[in-house]
Amino acid sequence: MASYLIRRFFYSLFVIWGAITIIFAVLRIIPGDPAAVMLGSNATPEQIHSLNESLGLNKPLFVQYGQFIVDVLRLDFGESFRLGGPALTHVLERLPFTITLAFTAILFAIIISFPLGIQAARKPNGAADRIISFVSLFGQSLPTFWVGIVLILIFSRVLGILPSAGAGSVAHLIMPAFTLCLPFIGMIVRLVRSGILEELRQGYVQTARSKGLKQNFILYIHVLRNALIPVVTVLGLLLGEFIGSAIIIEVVFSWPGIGRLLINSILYRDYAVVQAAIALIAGIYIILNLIVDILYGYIDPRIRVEES
Amino acid sequence: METTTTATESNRPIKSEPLVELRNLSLEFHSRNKIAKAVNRICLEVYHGETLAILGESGSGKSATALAIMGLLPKPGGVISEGEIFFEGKELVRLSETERRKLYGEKLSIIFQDPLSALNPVLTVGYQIGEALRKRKSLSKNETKKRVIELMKLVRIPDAENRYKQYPYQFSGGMQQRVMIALALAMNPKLLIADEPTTALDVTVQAQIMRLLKELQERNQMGLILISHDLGVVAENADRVAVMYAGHIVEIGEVETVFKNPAHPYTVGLMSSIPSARQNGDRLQSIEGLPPNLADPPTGCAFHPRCSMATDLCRKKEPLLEEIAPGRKSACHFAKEVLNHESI
Ligand SMILES: Nc1ncnc2c1ncn2[C@@H]1O[C@H](COP(=O)(O)OP(=O)(O)OP(=O)(O)O)[C@@H](O)[C@H]1O
Ligand SMILES: [Mg+2]
Repeated sequence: MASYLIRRFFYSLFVIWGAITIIFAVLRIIPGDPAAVMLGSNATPEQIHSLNESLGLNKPLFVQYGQFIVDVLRLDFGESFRLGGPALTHVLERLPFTITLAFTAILFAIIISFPLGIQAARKPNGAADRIISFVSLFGQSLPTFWVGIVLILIFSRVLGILPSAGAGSVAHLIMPAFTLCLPFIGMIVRLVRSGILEELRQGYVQTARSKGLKQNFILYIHVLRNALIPVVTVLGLLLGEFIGSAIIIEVVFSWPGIGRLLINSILYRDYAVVQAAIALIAGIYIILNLIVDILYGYIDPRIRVEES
Repeated sequence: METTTTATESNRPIKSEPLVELRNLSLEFHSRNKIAKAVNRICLEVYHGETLAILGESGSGKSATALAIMGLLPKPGGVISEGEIFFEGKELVRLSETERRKLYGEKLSIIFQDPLSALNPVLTVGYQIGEALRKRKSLSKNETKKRVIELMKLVRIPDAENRYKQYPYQFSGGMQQRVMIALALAMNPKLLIADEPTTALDVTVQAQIMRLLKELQERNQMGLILISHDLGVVAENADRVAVMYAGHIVEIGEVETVFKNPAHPYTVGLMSSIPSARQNGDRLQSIEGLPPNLADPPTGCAFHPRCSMATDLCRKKEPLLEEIAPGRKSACHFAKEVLNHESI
């Protein structure tokens, strides 16, 4: 297990390097001179030139890149010219909000889809199964921002029971988290359902039945754990998507997370913040995947021991 | 070979009740657009302490019969279309799920061909062996563990105390099958069905497992249904043998007499497929052709397309399994001729 994790760690470093290199390149390809955007429309060419000079933006690209990598290694992403102060500090301030939102959404997704998936698998192609698969497919096909706006209209404008924007209380969290998890529910329901049906065909289920155990006991103790192995893997892969979708959701619900900060910083060409945010998101994504791997080993003993 | 426990008419009290008895049992597998008649009106019985082998090639309905007795036919799909199963006089086919659950473990148990897939990969072997004791007998955790370690020692799993906590994939095939046997015997069943218990194992391990099974059978005076397509295993371990072909029992009787002197052309063919089993010089062609399609079986005798002796009668009329000698039945219109032709 240890050597496996070390291997994963180096692999992760490589992925982070790839991510920040890409963002370095992309930011310099986006049309629009950052100094010009920063200074506004009535800046003189001299002003723009001197700002570019002081930001190091007129040096050759490879020099900029070398300097950039050295800075990143020191966790120095530069100063945010828009907000003042180190870019990383701003990003870290927003981090807890994004994490809270993403994890609540995952929790919602699990709480909603696991029971639905189990229920659907009890009687494949039965009435419950059909209804569940229809509803979850429907939820999956709705665009997220639209769902968010409709929810705001219903629960904030009409019913007035949930706040439409901002953070600060559990009530603020409900709509964004639900909107975020909605597209994933259908997928997880289907995964759980097909996982259970697949496992029910296995020989060990027959053995369990030949012991005289009750059907429900077999389902929960024998089948579910095996069925969850692929589900956990896919959930791990979905984590990145959760964080990605969170960016849109944060904008819709004015949720003060990294996503909203990132969008605003891109609009203002606040490179330092964008780079810090992307590097951090990549880092989180990788750490989460590592956690999933460990969890996976816990559920499936075959992995736990083989790797040690 | 010992035949003391054999259920011949002579050494069995006339009134002795069979442990399990199948009467005209028929099974079908229903799939989208066809019905496969996997087992057709078979009759057999097993007595206390006796080993009945079910012998037949792949697809002949051996496992289906075993699953039907256990009430473990796949749902939906597997259907008992006809007949009864009596266990200690109690009819099983129409038993409710709850009633049947009470029989498992204490009355009926089964071990399967592939022990690795029959064991749950994510639960420890100790838990799996003791599960029925704990859940059904409500034994305490410590009592269960003590009993499980006893069972593991009984089936000769070395280092039982430590291996208790291990998972199935950490065991060799032979040890996995021992785990499976311990699991099946945890509640002292009256009848054990062993569905090709050694097919997935190395030859050397096969003999050990069979010896263990026989020893445990004797200890508990269990009835044993030994499913196999290995003539050697059957010859060495069974008292009686039922030969199955395409869902029919074509011949049944004591192993020694059936093997020495088959009363059905299919059995004759089986015997000739292993040269060492035949001492006389009779040249018999091994069986040509393939078993029939169970969704569309041939008319008359199911074996007639492959039988060198087949006549018009065989093509038209289905032979019934009839007694041709005490304790000996054959389903062939020409059983007497086969028998005489074959006698040594
Ligand atoms: N779940 C199922 N669905 C449909 N048909 C099945 C199913 N299980 C078995 N059958 C069919 O029933 C027939 C009997 O199968 P069975 O498993 O009893 O054979 P077997 O004698 O045990 O063979 P083997 O030696 O290969 O184990 C076969 O033709 C098989 O195709
Ligand atoms: Mg079989």
